[in-house]
Amino acid sequence: MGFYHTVEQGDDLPKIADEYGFRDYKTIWDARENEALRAQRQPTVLLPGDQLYVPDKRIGEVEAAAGSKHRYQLKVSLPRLRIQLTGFDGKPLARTPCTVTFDGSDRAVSTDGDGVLDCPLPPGTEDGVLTVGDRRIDFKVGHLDPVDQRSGLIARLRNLGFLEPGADGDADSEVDDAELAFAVACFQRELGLPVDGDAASIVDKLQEAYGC
Amino acid sequence: MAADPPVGPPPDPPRGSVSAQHPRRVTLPLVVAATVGRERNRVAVRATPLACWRIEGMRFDFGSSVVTPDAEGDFTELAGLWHATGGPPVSVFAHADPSGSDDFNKTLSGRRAKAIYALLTRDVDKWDELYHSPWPDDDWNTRAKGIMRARLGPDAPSERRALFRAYMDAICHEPDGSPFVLQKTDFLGRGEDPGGKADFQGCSEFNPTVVFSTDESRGFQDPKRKDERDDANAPNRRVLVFLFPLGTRVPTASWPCPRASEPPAGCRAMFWPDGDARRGPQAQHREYDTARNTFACAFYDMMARRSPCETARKTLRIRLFDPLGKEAIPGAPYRMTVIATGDVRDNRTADAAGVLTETDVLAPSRILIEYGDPRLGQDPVPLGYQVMVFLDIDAADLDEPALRRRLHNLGYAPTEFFSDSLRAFQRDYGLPVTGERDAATEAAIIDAADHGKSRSDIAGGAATSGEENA
Repeated sequence: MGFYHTVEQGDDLPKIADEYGFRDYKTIWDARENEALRAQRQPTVLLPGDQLYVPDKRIGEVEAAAGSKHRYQLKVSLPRLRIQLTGFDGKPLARTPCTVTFDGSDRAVSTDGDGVLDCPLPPGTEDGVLTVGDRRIDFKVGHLDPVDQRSGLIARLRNLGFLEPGADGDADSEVDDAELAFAVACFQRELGLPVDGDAASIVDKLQEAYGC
Repeated sequence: MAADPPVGPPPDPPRGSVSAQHPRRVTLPLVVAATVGRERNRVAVRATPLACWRIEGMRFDFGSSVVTPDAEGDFTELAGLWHATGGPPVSVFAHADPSGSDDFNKTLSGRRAKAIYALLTRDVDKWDELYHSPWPDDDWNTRAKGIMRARLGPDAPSERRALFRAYMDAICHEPDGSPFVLQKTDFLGRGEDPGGKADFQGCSEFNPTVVFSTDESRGFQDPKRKDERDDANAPNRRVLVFLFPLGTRVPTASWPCPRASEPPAGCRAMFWPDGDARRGPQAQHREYDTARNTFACAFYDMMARRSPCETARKTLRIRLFDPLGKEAIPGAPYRMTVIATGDVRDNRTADAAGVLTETDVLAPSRILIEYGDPRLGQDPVPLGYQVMVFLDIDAADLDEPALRRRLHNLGYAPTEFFSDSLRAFQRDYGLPVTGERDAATEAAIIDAADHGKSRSDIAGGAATSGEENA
């Protein structure tokens, strides 16, 4: 019998799969019970409170002839970290060397011609550091909320450099409406959209520009 | 009748510069998603300034890029700010006022930016370039040399380049008098571009902090009012140095600003779609502080948005009360802390009516006032009382939150029901105790909170108007 897992902040499907001992998150995601959730969400961008069905672990049965060797290759979808870096003008930083640090170990990477760096994400990764030149960018994996939530909208605008976190040095203080409208206007201008500062109107464009 | 001395507006000395840290913000980790397909996270490596220094146009000879000797103290402030922030990368942005064409002002602002950059880096060649490219009112020959010789006195070198260098050292120094010199690598573009891309730029007249209304603008076309117009335009003539987070590096190719020597087309690429309408006259007089829509360049707007050098600095005036007796404390010593910037002003004293006056305070902001009561006879006076006050940009705002902030500033603790605060205020100030927000109560709150009027003044005034009504 399967059961429902209530998504918490910081959860994403690869982490949940790892927690329940699934080698491939798709086993969970593809369960029939998750059809509605699949239509609404991406597996790596869940919202706290989402109900995710976790099926029974199937036991794979493979017939094999006794006395002979068999090699089984499992096709497993593993999570990766893909970040497109852009510069002051919003254009991609192509072929830029940088360093990604997980759990204290550095990994030298480089962005490709589109400014995208792509590296495997060790299972269960929560935090990391990206270093570009002398700039250190701390990041958290799995906490990104869906784009149609205010929190998800703010996080994406922040990553795109249009909003800074927290007023008065207080990390938790709310972004006020005027500040958000200005960030939305900056985003709209950079993309050549009509500039009205209306957050509701940019949801789809923001998802597309941000990349998830 | 009133025992309290009158509280006039504070003196407003002309200031040649502002030097300030931007409101501090905690740098939170970015929040990204793991990926399982072609999706990605886009992260921009930009930077918002962490501090700023602004030198007013009056520190230049009129219509010229020659820095005048009275800027000396302003450069000392910049030196202090630069060291206090750890010696971060900087970039220079100069602005002209809207008289004259865009091209003219792009050139003038570019020359001012170049002059400041050259001064900070002691690049005598760049001043020499200005000398060799004379331009309408920008005379680096007789007039400039006269200004420099007057400052340096009999020891002034006679050779031009030596004179330039000596003058640079004379007006741009550390607080201890030793020369304040920045290296080219201390600038955002690290001096990699010979034209100074990302190191210094002229923003023409594209980002005015004050925009006249169409009526004002029409009136100022009268040649007889030219001086008046120039005065009203003074805030628009300025050079800013923004200080960026340590380690910020700009691949100069990705820097959107054109070089100081280039025409304004590159600026226009970064304009808001309605940029020309923003910087041009509209029905209302507008200021960047409050209207927030006067800058044409979106890139500059993003950097300046929360900069104390481009946003409102207001006068804070409140009375310090004994929390128990609720009477003002004459000559109360206090310490003021602006929470957002950490700006601390210590060893201050309220006047004989207990009124605290502080000019050039960042707004809007939350401010902590710690104060004491000298009448208790302790020496030194312990700052045992404290109150958190709010400084608004728009003091005339009359909505409930604004009135609540004023009552709070007057020493009334927040109450769940606004009517309770109003009743307490009305009782103390001799008004009919109704708990209603009537015109007389609003006026009295504003008199007390914004104009520092005393209880007896207000109670007396209320009695007078009551008699008139009868």
